[in-house]
Amino acid sequence: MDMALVSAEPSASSGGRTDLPTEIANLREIYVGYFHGVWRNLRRLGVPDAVLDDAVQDVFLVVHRRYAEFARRSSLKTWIFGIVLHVAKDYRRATRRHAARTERYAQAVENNSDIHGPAEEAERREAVRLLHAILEKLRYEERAVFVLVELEELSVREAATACSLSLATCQRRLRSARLLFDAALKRHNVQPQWRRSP
Amino acid sequence: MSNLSSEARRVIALARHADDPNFADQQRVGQGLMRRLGAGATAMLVSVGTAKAAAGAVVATTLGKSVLFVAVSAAVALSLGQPSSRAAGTSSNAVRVAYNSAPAANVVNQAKTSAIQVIAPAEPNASKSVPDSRKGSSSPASEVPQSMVVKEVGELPTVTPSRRSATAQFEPLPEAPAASDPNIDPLQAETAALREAQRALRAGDAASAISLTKKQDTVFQAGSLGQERAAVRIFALCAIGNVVQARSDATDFIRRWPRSPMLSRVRSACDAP
Repeated sequence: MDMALVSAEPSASSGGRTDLPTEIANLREIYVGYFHGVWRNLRRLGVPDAVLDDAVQDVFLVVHRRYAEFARRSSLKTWIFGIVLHVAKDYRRATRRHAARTERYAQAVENNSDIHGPAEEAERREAVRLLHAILEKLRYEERAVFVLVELEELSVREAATACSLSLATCQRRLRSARLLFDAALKRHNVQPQWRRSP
Repeated sequence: MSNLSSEARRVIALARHADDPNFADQQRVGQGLMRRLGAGATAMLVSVGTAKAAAGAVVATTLGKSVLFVAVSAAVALSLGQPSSRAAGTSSNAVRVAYNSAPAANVVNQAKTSAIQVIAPAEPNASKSVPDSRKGSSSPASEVPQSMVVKEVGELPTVTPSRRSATAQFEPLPEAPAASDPNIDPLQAETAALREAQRALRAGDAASAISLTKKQDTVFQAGSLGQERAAVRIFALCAIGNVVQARSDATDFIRRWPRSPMLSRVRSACDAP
């Protein structure tokens, strides 16, 4: 129990404990710098809004207690996204209310309708709804790579690191995810609800 | 690079920013994280209470009573979110543990429970944030080796937002190392660069702020602070009187970050003061 709050392998990290004040300062910096990325990618990975706050906090708690393990073995960004992927998977397993979530996306965009013209807004809203509907169709492993590369704009190599995959496997999953995304989009496009209708 | 269809790329471009959080999200989650860090610290401290002798730490348990540790430290006073006095309010009842000197690290080490990392010692000047009334008013505190103040729940002072020092709770982010240091995290470099542009703008050198943010957009293409840079540039454009460009940039900004916490400021950027 005690160890649950500390690094799982404290001795494995550079042979000694880290400098604690530095670590705390790091958490603060990391939160400010990565909050947006953590939040939006948890959503993209399918964490329901109802538990999103908790999931985001979980990510930073893991960051906090495992920072000693990190030890710059990868970039901070890919390390944090790796944690995001794990946390998202856990939350998805625990809570599956996808319909409610996708509705919320649409609602969130709708709330900003004053910013855009009605036509533009409708198009955007549909795009958001469609994006998440298609992401839902992907297997989590493919979705993770797709989200990191196509939405978060990480390089394939970075995504591979975050996903703990070989570069070749990551590329294969990305290819597969892209094909599935395009195919789903084509299917969707023949349905009337995607095309904007007056 | 991407071999997605153009239609897929269009959908992604339209929807890319739909999942971004806003300022209130950042504040709310940051406060919750602080609470969880504080609660975790308390749980850990209570659980290691019996290790008093070995740890030289405070025994936190009074039989039959729940005891809260009060920590006002750099750890719990993290400004998780942008510096703002708003965030100070809700944590007044939060569990806190006071660390105010470096030797606490040794206590932690001896206790062989780095869980107390959660409440790591504050910087030396952080002790200023601990109100004097808290010191020495509880007998266990005198046993604490310059590290902790322990109080029972009933003894906790009621801290109102007005009594809190916003500067103590939310001091500005520490200066990030220079971007030229190859060992630092890219985000720190980006933050330092953004600060430079903000400083230029505050100092009235709007032209420099504009050129700095443009340069930074190139250097930090995949960075996290594009939104902040865009806002600085808009404000700077207003400052030099380039209202047309500022409004055009503001339109782009609003489209790109419709949930931005800076939205209203960007919208009214060139309005007369």
